[in-house]
Amino acid sequence: MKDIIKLFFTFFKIGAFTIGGGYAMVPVIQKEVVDNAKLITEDEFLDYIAVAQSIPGIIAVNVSTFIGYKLYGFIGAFFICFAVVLPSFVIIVLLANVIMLYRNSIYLIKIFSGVRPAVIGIMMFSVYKLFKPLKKTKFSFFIIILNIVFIIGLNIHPIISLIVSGIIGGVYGHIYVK
Amino acid sequence: MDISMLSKLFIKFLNIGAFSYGGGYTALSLIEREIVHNSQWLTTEEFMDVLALSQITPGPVGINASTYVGYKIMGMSGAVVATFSVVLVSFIIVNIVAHYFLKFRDSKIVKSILLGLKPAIIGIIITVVYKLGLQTIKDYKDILIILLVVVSVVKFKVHPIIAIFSSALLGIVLF
Repeated sequence: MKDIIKLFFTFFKIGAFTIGGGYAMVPVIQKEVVDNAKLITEDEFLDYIAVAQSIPGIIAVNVSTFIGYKLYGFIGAFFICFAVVLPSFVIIVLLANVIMLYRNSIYLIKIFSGVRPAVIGIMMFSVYKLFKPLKKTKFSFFIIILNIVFIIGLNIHPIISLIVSGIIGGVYGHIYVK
Repeated sequence: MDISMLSKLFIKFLNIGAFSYGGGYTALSLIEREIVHNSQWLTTEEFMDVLALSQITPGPVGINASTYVGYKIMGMSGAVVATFSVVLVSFIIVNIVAHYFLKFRDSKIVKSILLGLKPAIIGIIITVVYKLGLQTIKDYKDILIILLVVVSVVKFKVHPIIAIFSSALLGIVLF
């Protein structure tokens, strides 16, 4: 129980302080759960991201719920999901009106001029961290490039691209992996 | 409290949560379609406020937007219902999938599918970075901040949250 409470506060902190949305939260979750607390491995984390992204819903919530389930079963899933959603809820309900009042203030605009490129940097860091545990085979690089061409070149929806990649992986693995 | 309106809100956000595939920005476009166009619970102008607020507050954009829409339409009880229902479907699915995934993680078929999914995720995030970069990068200051953040988190192991807050301060100085 003590461990769940500790993890609850970790995810609460992530939800409360990470500006930039779900893709910015992924590397923060990885840093806390994989690097600092060492509760799961890098390779497991990449698995969970892959699965969480294949499920509809908010990616950061899905990953958090998945990690909660893996560590402490349904109770863990419930508490960790709650922990990651709660800060958003509290901040919006308590501060929405105040923030909207100052939304055109020169300071807020300047702050977000700094935050926006920072979020891109954090997402690049995410690519770096997820790439590290990946097996660097020709097949992996083929799938990465395929997704980039599909989404940017052919304007295909990411989820279609993801499903196609899963099917190609399934067939490839069936033929080539013992 | 208007129970029939609350249950309508519940159904709407249950739908939005169940069909928002691929992150918060999909959720935002679903909210626009369902809440602004179909139900007309919010005006386009009010939706612009939702867009702005959900992106400048911490946490997942899809959650921030849902909570704020619920709050705008029905106050506190609306906020609770919208937040709860937008998470509900994926919460249930993740529990079921996690259960079977952890059981069959070492089976050949799951391993094979993951062989495709894992690099795909990396490709997808690269495309998100690219698209966000096109919108965001206007001059050398943006590139400077990106470089500072990447170097500080990768090389000097600075916590990403610290890097984002430092960039906020840097924004006040630079822009």
